[in-house]
Amino acid sequence: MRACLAGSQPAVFVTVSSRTPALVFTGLALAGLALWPLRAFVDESGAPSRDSSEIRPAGLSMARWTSAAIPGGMRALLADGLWLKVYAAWVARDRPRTEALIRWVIMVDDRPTQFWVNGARIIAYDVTDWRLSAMNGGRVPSEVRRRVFEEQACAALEHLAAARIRHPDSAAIWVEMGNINLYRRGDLRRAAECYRRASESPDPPYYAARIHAELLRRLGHDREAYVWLRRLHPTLPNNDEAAMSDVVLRRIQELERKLKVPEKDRYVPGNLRTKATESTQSD
Amino acid sequence: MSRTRFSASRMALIAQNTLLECMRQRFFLLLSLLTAAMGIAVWVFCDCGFVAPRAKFLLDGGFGALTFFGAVLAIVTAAQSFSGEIEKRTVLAVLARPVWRMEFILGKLAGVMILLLIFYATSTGLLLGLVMWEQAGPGMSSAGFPAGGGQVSGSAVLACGLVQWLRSGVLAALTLLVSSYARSSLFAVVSGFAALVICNLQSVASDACRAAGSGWAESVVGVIGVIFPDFALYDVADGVAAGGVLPTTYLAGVTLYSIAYAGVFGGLAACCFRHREL
Repeated sequence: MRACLAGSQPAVFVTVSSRTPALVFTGLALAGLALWPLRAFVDESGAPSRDSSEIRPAGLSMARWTSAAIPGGMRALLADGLWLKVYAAWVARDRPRTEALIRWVIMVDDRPTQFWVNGARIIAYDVTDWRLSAMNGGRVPSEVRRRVFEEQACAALEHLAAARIRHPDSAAIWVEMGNINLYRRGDLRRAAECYRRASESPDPPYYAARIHAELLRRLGHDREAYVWLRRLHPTLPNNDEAAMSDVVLRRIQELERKLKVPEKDRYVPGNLRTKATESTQSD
Repeated sequence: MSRTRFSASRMALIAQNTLLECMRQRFFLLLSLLTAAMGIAVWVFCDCGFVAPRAKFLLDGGFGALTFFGAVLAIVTAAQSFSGEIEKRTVLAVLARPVWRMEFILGKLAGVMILLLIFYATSTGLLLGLVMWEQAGPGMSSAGFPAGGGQVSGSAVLACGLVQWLRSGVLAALTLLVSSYARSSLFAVVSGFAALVICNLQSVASDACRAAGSGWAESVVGVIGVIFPDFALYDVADGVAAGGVLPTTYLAGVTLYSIAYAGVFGGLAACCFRHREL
């Protein structure tokens, strides 16, 4: 029964009973099956930062592989080191190297939104200028200029679309998409949509909702802008300067005059309405 | 021999000898110094972190070094301490006495585990000291984050160190299992690293196969997933560095999971060693 496996196995294995490997594998499989519920329990116990990058239709994000292959926080260090190299390439205005290194940074560590947003800014603004400067010192026909603007803006938006898969709730990414659509493509409709999505994200900046209304107004959708601002104003805190509650109120009043909203239907801020009610009751 | 009863004191003696032997090795000293140097270097170069507060950057680098060097220490020490005894034939002198082979294996495992505990305790202590120092002082990171943004809790750092120790303990037990039937320590070391890669990547590979819709590949990865422990369960360093805390349920679960796997690997290693011709 005791068979010598040394003759048939590579020399790295010692002579063991033929039952031993089978025993080891059976033992490991049984242990794995027995411990499966415990594994599931640990997996669902709510420990922070178990990397859960979205699985893309075409497979898995490269960053997820690197997250598993590069131990612990080494990923952050490596990404920071690569970002330094992005800066070096950026200073040298080396377009292929800059774009390649941005991709590498994202591949190594796709968690910080700053890498995505700053990468998109470099692609949309800086690379555009480098390309135009390289063409006859920037003196190019407006048609060519528009084409370069469009190409780089589209590349940046594509980059940010990938970011949205990793950070679906990030307002910063929607805001950056809005900025690029607004300032580089002049596409007010898409920009307005991006700012709206940003304002609906968790923890959005106050200005996203204001810019959305402003763009609606510029698109000629005054009624929509008015409704939007009426809904927005009660949610803004009075004690936070960044919220610019008074500016929003002024804009509502301007729109009411422009839209000729009847006096009785005009917007009255919550605190004033309360005061008015109190004075009516006392009368 | 069969009349000799299993003795915990003999096992403890083997563990003590293993610990002393491993601590005297230059390799342990070298890795400890490298880990400490890495932690201090990260602390010195905290300003190079573009996107993270200083404390997070420090913990990212520190835990990265701890995880990497800890895994190397677990694999190499477990393989060397066991296969070294066999290669140098000193094991024959030990087993000529009334010592169970299981006592020998479990003693070796316990010795390596205590060595790893010392390594992780000192490194995590150093890291915690640096983080507390960093958080105590005011200042801003280069990215404009307040230094205290996402305050890191000291107990979470210690708990994370404990989790990393558990991972390396399981890895050491797995390497010991390979050593119990490997002819050379080199083979055991290489197999240990291969096992580390499998354990680290299996959950990602499983997700990738599911995403690709490859049925047979998913089955193969599923079988591997049953046989090997999932090291993705121990990947909590990022969350702790971001200011997260480890829930008690998670700590209890992962401790139990690690003890169970270390026990299974240790038991199987003892079984293999029992049938091994020396």
